Amino acid sequence: MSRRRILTLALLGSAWLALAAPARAAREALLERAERAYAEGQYEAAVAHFTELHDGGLVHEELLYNLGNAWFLVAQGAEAAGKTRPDALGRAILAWERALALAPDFEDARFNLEVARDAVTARFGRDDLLGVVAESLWTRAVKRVPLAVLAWSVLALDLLFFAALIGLRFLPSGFARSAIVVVTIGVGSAGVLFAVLLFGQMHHLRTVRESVIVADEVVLRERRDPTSRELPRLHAGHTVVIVREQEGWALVRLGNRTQGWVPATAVEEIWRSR
Amino acid sequence: MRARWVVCALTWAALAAARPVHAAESHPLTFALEVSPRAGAVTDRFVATVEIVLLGVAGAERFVAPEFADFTIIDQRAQQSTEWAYDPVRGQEIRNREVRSFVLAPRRAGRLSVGAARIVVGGVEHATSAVVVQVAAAGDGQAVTAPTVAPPPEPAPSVRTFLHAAVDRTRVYVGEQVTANFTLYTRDGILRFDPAPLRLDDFWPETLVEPQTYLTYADELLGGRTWAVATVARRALFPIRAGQYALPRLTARITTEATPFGTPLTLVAPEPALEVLPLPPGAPVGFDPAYVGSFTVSAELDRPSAQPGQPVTLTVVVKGTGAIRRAGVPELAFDGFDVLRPRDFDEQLALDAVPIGGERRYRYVLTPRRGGLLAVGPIELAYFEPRTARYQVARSAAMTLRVVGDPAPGATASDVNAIGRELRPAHELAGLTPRVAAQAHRSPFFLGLLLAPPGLFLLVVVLDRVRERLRRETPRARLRRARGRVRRTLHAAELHVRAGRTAKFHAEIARALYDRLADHLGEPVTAMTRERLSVFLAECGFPEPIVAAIAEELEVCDFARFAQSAAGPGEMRATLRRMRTLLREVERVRIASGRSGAS
Repeated sequence: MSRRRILTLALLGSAWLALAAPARAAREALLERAERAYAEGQYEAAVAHFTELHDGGLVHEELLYNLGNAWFLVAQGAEAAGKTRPDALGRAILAWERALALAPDFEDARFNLEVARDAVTARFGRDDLLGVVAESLWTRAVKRVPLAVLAWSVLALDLLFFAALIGLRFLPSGFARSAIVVVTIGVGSAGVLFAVLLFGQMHHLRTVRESVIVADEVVLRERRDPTSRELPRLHAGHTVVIVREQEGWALVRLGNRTQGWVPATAVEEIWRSR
Repeated sequence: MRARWVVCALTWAALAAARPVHAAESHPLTFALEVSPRAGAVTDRFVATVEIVLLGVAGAERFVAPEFADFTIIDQRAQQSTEWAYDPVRGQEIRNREVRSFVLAPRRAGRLSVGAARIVVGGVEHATSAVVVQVAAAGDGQAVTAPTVAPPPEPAPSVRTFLHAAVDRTRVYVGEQVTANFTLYTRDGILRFDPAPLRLDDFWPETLVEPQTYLTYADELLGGRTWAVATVARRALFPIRAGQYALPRLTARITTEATPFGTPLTLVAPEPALEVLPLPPGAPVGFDPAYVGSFTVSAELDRPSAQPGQPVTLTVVVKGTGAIRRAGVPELAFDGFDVLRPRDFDEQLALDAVPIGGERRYRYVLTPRRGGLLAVGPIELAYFEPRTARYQVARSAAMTLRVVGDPAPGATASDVNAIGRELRPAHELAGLTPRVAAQAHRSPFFLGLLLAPPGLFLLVVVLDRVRERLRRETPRARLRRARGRVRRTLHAAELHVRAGRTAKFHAEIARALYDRLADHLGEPVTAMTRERLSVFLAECGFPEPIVAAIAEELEVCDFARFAQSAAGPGEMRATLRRMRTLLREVERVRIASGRSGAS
C-alpha cells in the first residue's frame, strides 16, 4: 500500500473519530443522568432519559431492561400515591418484551416481565386470553434463534462458502481439494438453512406486527366507533397482532383469532421501526 | 391359482380385522352412573344419569335401571345417538351412545344410595358402581339445589330449527351462580353453525360447555316431533351487580340442509329474565364479594419451629363452591410476623359440579420479627351463603410457630412493596454501545455484505476466464501479442531518439520490422539476406512498393547503425513515423495461399 493511501485512510479514521467522539460523550452524559435519576428514585425523569437514549439510536437490551424497570416503578409509585398512570405497566411490559426480542436469553427481563404480568393480574384479574398468541410451527421454528445470531451466521457462512468456492477454482485435485469440497457442501447446506430461517424471521417481522397493549385496560370494539359493540376487554401487556391502522384506530387480532378495534394509542409494536 | 391366493389373503385379513372389533364390542366403551348433585336437601331434586357407549350401531341387549330404593322417580328420559369417532388403534368406528336420566326426589334425609345399573352386552353382564348421596334435612344450610332447566315451549309447525336458552334459576344474589344453557333444536342436518360471542359484561363467566369441533346431538321429543338437540354453550354466570337483567343473547348464523342456496339463517335465542338481588348489609370486615357460595379454609405451616429471621411457608387452602377464580388473594396479618403476599397460587377447578367450585392453594412467606411461641391464625374467611342468605366465616385451625432466639435486625417486609422488592434490579449501563448486530439485518449494508462474497466470486471467475482466453494460442492472440511487442519496441526506439542513441534506435527499428514480419509470415526472417527477404516477401504476396520500402528501411537501419553521424533526431523521428506507417501496411498484407501467417 502506497504512503498516500495510508495517509488518506488515517485521515478518514481521524475524522470519523473526531465526529463520533462528541456524540459518544453526549450519550454517556445522558446515560449518567438517567442512572442518577433512577438511583435517586426520580423514575419519571429516568424514563424520559432512557427513552431519549433509545429513540436516539442506542438500541440495547440492557437499556430497554432499565427502561422497563423505571416504568414499572413509576406505576408502583403512582399506585402508592393514589394516582393513576394508565400506561406505565403496559410500557414496562413493552420495554421488557423488546429487550427479550433483542436477547431472548435475558433472564432478568423475563423474570421482571412475569412480575409485571402478575401485577396486571392482581390489579385487573386474570385474563383468560393472556398469552394465547397463536403462532404457526414455522414461526416458532424461525423465532427460536435470535435474529442477530442468524444474521451474522448467514454472513459468515456466505463468506466461507464463496471463499471455499474460490479456493476450489484454483486448487489442483488432491486431498485438500476433496476436503474443501466436503466443507463447501456442509457450509452451503448450513448457509441455506440459516438463510431460510433469517429471511423467514425477517418476513415474519415485516408482515406480523406483534404488539403489546400499553393501556391499563382497553375495550376491544367491533367497529371504529367508541359506541360500537364491545368485545373482550384487554389489559396491559396483552400481546396482539396489529392487522392495520386507520383513523386513529388499530385493528388487532388476538390469539384466538378474534379481531377488533382499539385506539391506536393503546397499542405499540414490539419491533417498531426505529 | 393366483386369484385363490388373493381371496385367501383377503379372507384372512378380514377375519383378523374383525376379531378385535368383535372382542371390543362385547365390552362397553363407557358405562357409568353419575348422580348430580352428590349433596343436597331432602326437598331438592337429584338427577341420576347412566351413560352407555358401545361400538357399533346396536345398543345393549338388556338394561337394568339402578335401584332407587330411597328415591321417588319423578321423571325419566332416554336419549340415543350414533356418532362417528376415530380411534388411533381401531381406526374409524361407529359408536352408539345412550344416555338414560332419572329425576329423583329423596324420600328421607341421610346417606342414601343409588344402586348399580346393569347392562348385558354380547351375553356378558356389566355393572356400574353404586353412588352414595348425602341428603340433608329441609332447611339445613349445607344443602345445595340441583339445577332445573325449563324445556322450550312448543315451536310452531313451520319452525325446523331454533335456539333455546334457559337458566336454572331466575332470582339470585350478586355473586351467586346461574347456569345458562343454550341449546340448538333442529329437524334438519346442520351444515354450519357460527355463533357470535356472548356479551357477558355484567357477569363473571365460567365456560362449562363450548363445543370446539362439532356438535353432539341427542334426540328429544317436543310437540309430538323428534328433534335433534345439541348443547351449543353452557356458562356458569356470576352477576356482579344487582338489578333486573336479561340473559345474554346468543345469536348464531346457521346453515342447514334445508336452507335455500346455502344462505345462513340468523337465529336468536330467547333472553330469560334474571333478578339479581344485592347482598344484604352487615358484611364482615374484609369480606370479598367474590366469596359468595360455601367455602372452607385450612392452613398449614411447613415447619413447627424456625431460626431467628428464617422465613417459613404458610400454605392456605381455600375450598368451596362459587366463583373461586374471581376471588382475590386473602390478606393476612399476624402479630410478630412480616407477611409476604404470594404472587401466584395453585388452582384446581371443578367445573362439572353444580354449582361449580374448586380450591386455591396460596403460599405466604412469614418472617418472624420476635422470638418465642408465636400464634399463626386462625385464618378467617368471610363469605356470603345464598342458601341461608347469611354471612358466614370459615376458620382454619390455630397454629403456633416456635421461634428460637431473636430474629436478625433489618428492614421489615412491610417497608417496601412486595412486588417492587421482587423486581430484579437495574443494570449498570456505563459504556453501553448500540447493538449493531441486532439491527444489522435492517441496514442496506447488510444486503451489500451478503452479496459481496458472491460478487467477489463472480469477479474472480470472470477474470480467470479472461486470463485463460488471453492465454489461448489463436491467430488473433498472436496478432495482439505481435502488436504489443512492436509497440514496446517502437517505444524503446522513441526513448533512444530522446537520448540521441542513433545506433540503438536503428537496431530497435530493425528489430520491430523483423519481429512484425516474422509474426505476420509465421517464420523467422532475421537470418535472411535483404535480397532473399525481398524475394520471399514477393512470393508471399507482398506488393512490390512495400517490399521495396522494407528493403530500403532495413538498409537505412544498417547504414545508420554503423555510421551514427548520418542521422540526427529529426531524421530519426521521420524514420519512426515512416516505420509506423510501414508496419500498418505490412499488417494489412494478405499472405498468398500456401503460406502460413498470423494474419
